[in-house]
Amino acid sequence: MEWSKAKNILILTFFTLNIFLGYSLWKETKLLLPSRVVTYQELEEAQEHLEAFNLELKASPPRQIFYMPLLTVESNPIDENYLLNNFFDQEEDLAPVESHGVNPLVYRQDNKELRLWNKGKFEFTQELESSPWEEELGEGEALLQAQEFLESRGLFPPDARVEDIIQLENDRYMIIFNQVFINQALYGGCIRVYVVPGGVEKIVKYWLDPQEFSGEDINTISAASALIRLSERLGPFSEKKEINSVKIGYYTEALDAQKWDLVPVWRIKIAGQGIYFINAYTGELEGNVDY
Amino acid sequence: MWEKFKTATLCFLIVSSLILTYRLWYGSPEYEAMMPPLYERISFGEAPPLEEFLLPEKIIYVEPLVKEPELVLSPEEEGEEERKEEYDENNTAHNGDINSQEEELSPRVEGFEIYQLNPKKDIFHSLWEGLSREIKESNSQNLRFSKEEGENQPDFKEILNPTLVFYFNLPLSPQVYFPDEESIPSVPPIKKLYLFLEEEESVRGFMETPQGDLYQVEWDLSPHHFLSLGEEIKSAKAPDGSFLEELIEKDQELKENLAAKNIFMPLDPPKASDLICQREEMDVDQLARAFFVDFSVVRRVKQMDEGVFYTDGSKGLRIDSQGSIEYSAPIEEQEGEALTPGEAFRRGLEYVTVYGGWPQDLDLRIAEFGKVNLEQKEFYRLELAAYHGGVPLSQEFLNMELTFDEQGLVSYHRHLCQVEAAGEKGEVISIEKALKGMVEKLPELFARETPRRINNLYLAYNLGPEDLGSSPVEPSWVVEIDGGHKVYLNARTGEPVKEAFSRD
Repeated sequence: MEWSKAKNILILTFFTLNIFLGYSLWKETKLLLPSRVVTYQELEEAQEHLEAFNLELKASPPRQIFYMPLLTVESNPIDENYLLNNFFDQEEDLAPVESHGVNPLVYRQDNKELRLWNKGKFEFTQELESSPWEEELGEGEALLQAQEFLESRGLFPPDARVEDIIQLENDRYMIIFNQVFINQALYGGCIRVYVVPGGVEKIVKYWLDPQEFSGEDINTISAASALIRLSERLGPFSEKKEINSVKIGYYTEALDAQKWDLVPVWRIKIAGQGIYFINAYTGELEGNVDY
Repeated sequence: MWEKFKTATLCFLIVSSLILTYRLWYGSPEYEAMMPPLYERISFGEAPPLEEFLLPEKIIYVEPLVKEPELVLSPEEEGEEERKEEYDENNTAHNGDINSQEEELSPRVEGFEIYQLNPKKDIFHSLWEGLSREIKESNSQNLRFSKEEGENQPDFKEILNPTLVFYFNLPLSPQVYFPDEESIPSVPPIKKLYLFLEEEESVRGFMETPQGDLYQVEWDLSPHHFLSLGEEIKSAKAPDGSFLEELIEKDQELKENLAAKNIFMPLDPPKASDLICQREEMDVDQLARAFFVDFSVVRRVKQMDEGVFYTDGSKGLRIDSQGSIEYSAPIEEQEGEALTPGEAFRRGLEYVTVYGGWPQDLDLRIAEFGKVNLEQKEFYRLELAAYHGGVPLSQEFLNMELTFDEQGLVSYHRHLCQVEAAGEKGEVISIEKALKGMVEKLPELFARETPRRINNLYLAYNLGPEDLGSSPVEPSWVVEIDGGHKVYLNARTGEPVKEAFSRD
């Protein structure tokens, strides 16, 4: 009788355990879109390879190998009048500095400048007067100021997500907002806001209009492979560098085009070196930024 | 019974939990086993037979009209002749005078009968077969050549025998034309070959390279076969060509400003219709699939000018709104055995078939084939020009260019169009009128003291004044003069249309 009860308890325990394991496996294969998983041993091998190139992996890269299609986007045309009304005093006459088909189109008023590119990118800068009584600026405060500045001008898109806060100098921060489309980060479309204690001194915005995922789902290379490909591409470093972020998403450079496909990329950040985007299908370097 | 069932269930649950744990812990054993890309072999129709590209562009047969000396003497002259003979016998000190007399008595070329032959004529193929046979049988003993210094073009007035001139679009080189014949001596690529058919057991001649270098040729071959073909030509058609220099000589204004040597031109100006050029229609997606082995990783960019760009991150293909195609691929490290010129030429033609195919209403002919260096690596470059009804379309607006090596294409440019005649064939102005118009309307070209040398003169199609989706194409006389200058003259009106400089 006791043995029968023990069996009942064990059956119940293993049944619960199996449901938990099954759910974990299903979550990994379906919910997170992976097809397979890289083993710890393979990650260790990749780490050894990186060490040979003087790179230290400080982040935990995703172990999944994803199935991802291309993502079709369209360019987001700039509403020139809206921006001019937002940034400048419209009481005064405002005309582009040069207007003969130049790109970018430049507007200036007092200490402010707005540059507009055909491809849908704009850059706004203003000179801020520094005051000795200004309080020290922290990361949180910088983020808050950036968000408020954008929201107050109707420039904060609902699909924006904070990607990074980078301290450029003492009291000067760059806040990067990335675009998100159905849980996928679009590293091509971004807003960069430069904040100093006196306020926001510069905004660069290039925002895309994502349409749909297109083409067939294709298995990507693993994060481990992408790291190896990048290290081989950059060559051994003379001094130790840290890899502090490895993420997957979609990337594009700012293109002067109507409609195009974005390719999945591994976004790899090397501290003090820059951010690299490795094509997650082919392992080729798609682009990089040096912040 | 119930206990046995519970035991079995427990065992199953234990085993399955172990399997699930293993799967979660170690992942898939097929680490990054990529699906091999399914490459679809794509072809845009059939290639024309290879032999079509290995034909000369044209052959010219020149029959000199030789005047034999006539010794019809008047009675007074007869007396003088007798006295002269007497004098000759007694005095040999005046040899110079006698020699000049002999020169006057030797045969003289008074004119030419010129026959132009193109690949539509059977006799053209007989001549080419004859020449091919002789080339295949040649070796360094029976074919000798030496470089001529300077620009000493052969003077037809000194040639008393018939002459054959072969013009090649694809410079004649045994490695390309006859790759299997290893005994043929290596000769420079031949753009023009002059064969003087003297009635002996050898033939003299000249060959001209694409760079304009001249080589004197001595070839131990019997000219009788070619001479008998020459007789056939004469019996089949009337002379239809002349020398441009003769036309220039007759007109004082042209003579003061222009010079030419060994430029053949038609006796009667050809007729040509105007054309309409429309964007080359092609299944763009299919074309893109031909360029990329794994099309699933290729992304498409629709550009502002309605052009489309495809890339897989390393290779790029752009098809612009006019249908012009540009492709480029990164240069890879050399692997495998380098292509021979013969293999490279044949592979270049295959690429045209695979990457867009051969247009139906245009003939593509070889404009240039040779080696180029890119990033310290050797590649083959094949350039094709488009022809309609035997008339070339100006390469400034229609052309095709491929650069490749044993590993494949590194660049491809294709700008062709679909053409149709805009009406019946019409008259074009004579060459004389066109040249006079050029001298009159472009005086700045002739400001220098010495006449300008014409290197080539031909009829070609050129884009008309409008450049729209459907563009008119008009016939033009193209005059290539020294300094790489090309002048396009409207072949209906004689008006200068444009000037260009050739890459040479």
